[in-house]
Amino acid sequence: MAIEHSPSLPEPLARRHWSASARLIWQALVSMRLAVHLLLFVAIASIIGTILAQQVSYHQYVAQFGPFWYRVFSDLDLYDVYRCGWYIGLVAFLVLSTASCITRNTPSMLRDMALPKRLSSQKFLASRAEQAEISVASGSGSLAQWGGILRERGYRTHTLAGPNGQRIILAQKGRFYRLGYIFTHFAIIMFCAGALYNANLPLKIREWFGAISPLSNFALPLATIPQKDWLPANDSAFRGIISIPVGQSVNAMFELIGDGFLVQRLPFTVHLDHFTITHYRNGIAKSFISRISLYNAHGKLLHTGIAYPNHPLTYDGVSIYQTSYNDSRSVLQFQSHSLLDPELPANTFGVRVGQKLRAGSGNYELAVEKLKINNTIPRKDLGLAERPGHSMINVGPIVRYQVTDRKTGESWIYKSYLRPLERHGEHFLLLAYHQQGNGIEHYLAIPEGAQGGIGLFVHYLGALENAAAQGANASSTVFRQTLRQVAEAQNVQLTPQERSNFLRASLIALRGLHDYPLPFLVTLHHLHLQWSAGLEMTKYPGMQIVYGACFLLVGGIFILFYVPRKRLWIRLTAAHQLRVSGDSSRNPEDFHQEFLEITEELQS
Amino acid sequence: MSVDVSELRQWFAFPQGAREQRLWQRLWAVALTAGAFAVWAIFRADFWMWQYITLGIWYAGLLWFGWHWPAFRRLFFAILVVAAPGVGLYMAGYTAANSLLLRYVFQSTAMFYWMSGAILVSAVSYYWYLYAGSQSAGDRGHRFAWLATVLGFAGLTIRWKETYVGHPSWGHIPVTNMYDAMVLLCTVTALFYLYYEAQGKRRGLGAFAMPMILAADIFLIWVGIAYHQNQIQPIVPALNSFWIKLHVPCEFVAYANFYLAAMVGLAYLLRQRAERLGSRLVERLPDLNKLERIMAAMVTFGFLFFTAGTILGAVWAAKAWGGFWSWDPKETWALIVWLNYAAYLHLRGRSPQHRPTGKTLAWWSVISLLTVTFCFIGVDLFLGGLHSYAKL
Repeated sequence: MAIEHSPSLPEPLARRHWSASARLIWQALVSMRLAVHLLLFVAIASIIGTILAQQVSYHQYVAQFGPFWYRVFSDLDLYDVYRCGWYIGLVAFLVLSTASCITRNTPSMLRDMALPKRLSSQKFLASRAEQAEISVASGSGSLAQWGGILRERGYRTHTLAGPNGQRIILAQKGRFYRLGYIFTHFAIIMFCAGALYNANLPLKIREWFGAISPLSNFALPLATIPQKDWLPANDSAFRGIISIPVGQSVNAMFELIGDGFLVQRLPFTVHLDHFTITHYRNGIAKSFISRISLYNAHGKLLHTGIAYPNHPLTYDGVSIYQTSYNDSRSVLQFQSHSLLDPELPANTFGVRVGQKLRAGSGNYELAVEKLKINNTIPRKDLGLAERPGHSMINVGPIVRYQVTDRKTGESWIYKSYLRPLERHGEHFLLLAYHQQGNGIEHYLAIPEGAQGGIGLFVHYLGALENAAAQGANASSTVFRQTLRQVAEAQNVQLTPQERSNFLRASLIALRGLHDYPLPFLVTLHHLHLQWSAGLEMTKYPGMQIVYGACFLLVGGIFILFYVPRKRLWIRLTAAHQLRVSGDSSRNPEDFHQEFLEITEELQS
Repeated sequence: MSVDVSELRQWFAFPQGAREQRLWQRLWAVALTAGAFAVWAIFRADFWMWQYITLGIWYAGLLWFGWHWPAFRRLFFAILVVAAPGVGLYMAGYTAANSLLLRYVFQSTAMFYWMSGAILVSAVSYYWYLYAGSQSAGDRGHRFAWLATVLGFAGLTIRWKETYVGHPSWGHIPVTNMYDAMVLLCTVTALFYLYYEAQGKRRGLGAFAMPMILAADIFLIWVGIAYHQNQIQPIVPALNSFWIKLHVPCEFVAYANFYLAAMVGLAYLLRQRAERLGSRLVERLPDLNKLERIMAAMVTFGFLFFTAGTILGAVWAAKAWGGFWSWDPKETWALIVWLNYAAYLHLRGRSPQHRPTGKTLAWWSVISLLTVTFCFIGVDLFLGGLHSYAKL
C-alpha cells in the first residue's frame, strides 16, 4: 500500500525556502526504504532482551560473563535494553518516520477520498488499467439504467458533467480505503503516546538527572524509610507491588526501578480484610481471592471489593491486581519428644519460617527453613490405587527444618508432614531426613494410635526401654504385653485388630529408629496459617489512548488490505458506443475479472 | 498433466446453483443461530458482558466462513457428527477404562492418533501427486486432509468435554499446553490449506503444506509420549479467563497462515528452479505470479489475525498482570514477528517497479518461518517467562 509519487514536502512547507539538506533529510524520513530498515532494526534489537535475562542481579551477570564482558554489556545497556536510551531512540526514530509519512500523505489521501467535483482529464481516464469499448443496441439502456446495474453490485454512482454537456457516470466502491493507511500509521503513534503517558515522564526525567535515586536495600521495612523519600500519591501514573498480611493495612507500595526500588504513596489506605485460597483436588491452586477495603486518610471507608487473578479491583483509576500470596507469617507449632527419656511430656513450641532455636538441652540448633502448604505427589508413590482422572494426591503441609549438632557441626535436613498419611486404615506420621551432604533420604513412619498424635508410640518406646532395662527379652509376648499396659496407662482403647496393626507398624518404626541420629523427635503439630496477599497496583491514565489505538490498528489493517477502492467511468462516445474505464487500488487480477463481468452485463 | 480441481469440487461442494446455494446459506445461519442460543441457554449462569462478546465474535466468524465457503458448513456438521458419540459416551458415565469405543476411537488422544494417520496418508499422497503426477493420489491427499481436519477438531471437542470429566471445576478450553496447541495448529493449518486449495484449484501445494503439518504432528506425538502432556491437567488461575477463547484462536489462525505462506514460498522457489531445469513439476504447481499472490494473501490474512490476537493478548495481560506490555519474551517475539511481516507487507505493497522480486519475497517468507516457530515454540522451550504455561 504505497504512495509512489516522488517525495515532496507538504504544501505549506514547500512554499517556504528550504535548504537542500533539510529537503534531503525530509526525503529520507518519508522514504519506504528507511521505514523497512527501521522495522527490521527494531525487530533485531528486540531479540537481545529475550536472549539476555533482563534486570537480574549484578552478581549473576558477572558470574555469567566475567568482569570484562560484564562491563561491555553494561556500557551498552543490555541489561535493561527496552528502557535504555539507544533502544528508545530507535523506536522514537521509527515513530518520527511514521509521523513524517502521515504528515506527507494525509493531505493528498484526503483529497483522493473526496468526491471529484469535475471530470478527470481524458488523459487520466485513458491511463486507467482497465479499458473497454462496448456497443449497445439502440434504446437498450440509459445512463440511469447502467447506474442501476452498478449500484446492484455495491457501487455508489455519481453523475458528472463532462465537456460539451456530456454526462458521465462515476461508480465507486471502497471510497474511504485510504483510512486504512491513516488509521494503521496513526495507531502506532497513539500507542507510543499512550505508553509515554503511562510511563510517568516527570519521574523518569528526575530519575535520569539523578534527582531521585532508587533504594536498594530490600530488607528495609516500609516504616523505616523516611516519608520525604516517598513519591506523592497524586503522581499521574505508577505501577508497584506490595505484600499485605491479612488484617493489616498499607498506604504505600514499592515501585521497582532497575535493580532498586522507590516507595510510592497510595491515594488511599488498603486494608486486606480476608484472603482465601481454593485448590483443585490434586492440590494445584485454583484461585486465590483477596477481600480488600479502601479507606481515605481520615479513616472513611471508600470502597470494598474482591480481587482475584484475571479480575482486578478498580477504584478511582487505580487497579489492584491479585498477583501472588505467601504464608511467611504463619506460626508453626512443633512438638518435641525426647527419645532419651520418652516418659517426659512432649514439649510444644511455636516458631516462624526463618527462625532458629536451640533444642536437645542446647546441644542442637534447629532452623526452620521452608513451609510448603500443598504437596502433590503421585498416588502410586503412596501405594494408593489410582482413580480415573486423579493420579495425584495432596499430602498437605510439609515443613523443612535443619538440625545442627553444635559440637560436631554435623547437620540433618528434616521434612515433617503435618497430616498423617492413611494406609490400609492406619494412620502414620511421616518424618523424612537426610544428612547434609549425603543424599540418602530416610523415612520414619510413626504409627498413630486411635487418638491421633505420636504420644502413644513414644510412651510405648519408653516402656519397651524400661522393660529392656529390667532384663526382659525381646519376645513377641513382651511387646504385646507392654503395648497393652501402655494403652491402659494412656487410656487408649484399641481393638485387637488395631492393636496388632499398631504393634506391627511400631516394630517397623523401631527398626528405623536404630539409625536415627538425634536424641529427640521434632514433628509439626499444628499450623496457624497467616496469609499475605501479594498485590500489584497500577494507575495508567493512558489506557484509553492505547485501547483506541488497538481499534484503529485492527480496523485500519482490515481496511488497508480488504477494502480496495474500485472506480468505473462510463461515458457515451458515439450514439451506441460506451467507453468504460476502471481501476482498482489493489488486486488488479481480481478486478480484471470483475471488470469483464460488468462490461458484459452492461452490453446485454 | 495439470488438474483442475473445480470438477472435483462439485463432488465435494453443495450444488452450485444460486438458489440452492442461498438455501444452504440460510439453513446454515438458522442452525448456527440455534446453536448460539443453545450455548447461551446451557451456560447462561456464567454469562456476563464479555461472554456475550466472545460468543458474538465466534458466531459472526463462523457465520462468515460458512456463508462463503460451502465446504466449511459440511466440515462443521461432520465435526458434530464425529464428536457427538464421544461426548455422549462421557456424559453417559463411560470412561476410557470401561469402554473400548472410547479407548480406541473417541477418546481425544486416540482420535489424535487417527488424525495423525490421516495426516500421514494425506502428506504421502500429495507428495506422490507432485512427483509422479498421479491424479488419484492427489484426490486421496485431499480427502485425507479433510478427514484429518474433521478428526482433529472433533478430538478437541471431545477433549473439551474430557476436561470436565476429572472434576466439573476443571473444565477449560483445551488449548492450555503444548500438546493441545500442536493439535490446534495441525487442524487449523490443514483447514486453511484446504481453503486456499479450493481457491487456487491446484493440488500441488498440498505436497508442501501437509508434510509441514506432519512434522508438527510428529512433534505433538512426541510431546504426548515423552512429557505426558496428553494427560489433562486443571487450568492454572492465570489462564482461567474468557480471553483465552479469543486470544489463542486468533494467534493460531495467524500461525497457520504464516506457516502456509512459508510453504508456498518454498513451492515458489522450487517451481522457479523447475522452470529453469524444465522439470515437469511445473505442470502441477500454480504459476509463479499466482504463487506469489497466494503467499501475499496468506501473509496478509495472518497479519490481520496476528495483530488482533496480539492485541487481545495485551488487553488480557492488562487485566491479568497489570500491564499492557511487559517485554516478556513471548511478547517481544510476537513484536519481532509482527515487525518482520510489517516490513514484508511494506515492500510487497510497493508499486510493481519498486517491489522486490518474487524470489526475494519467497525467501523472506521461508526465513520468517524461523521467527514464527521461535515465537510459537522456541520461547516456551528455551526462554520461559510469563508465558511459559506451554513449557515442557
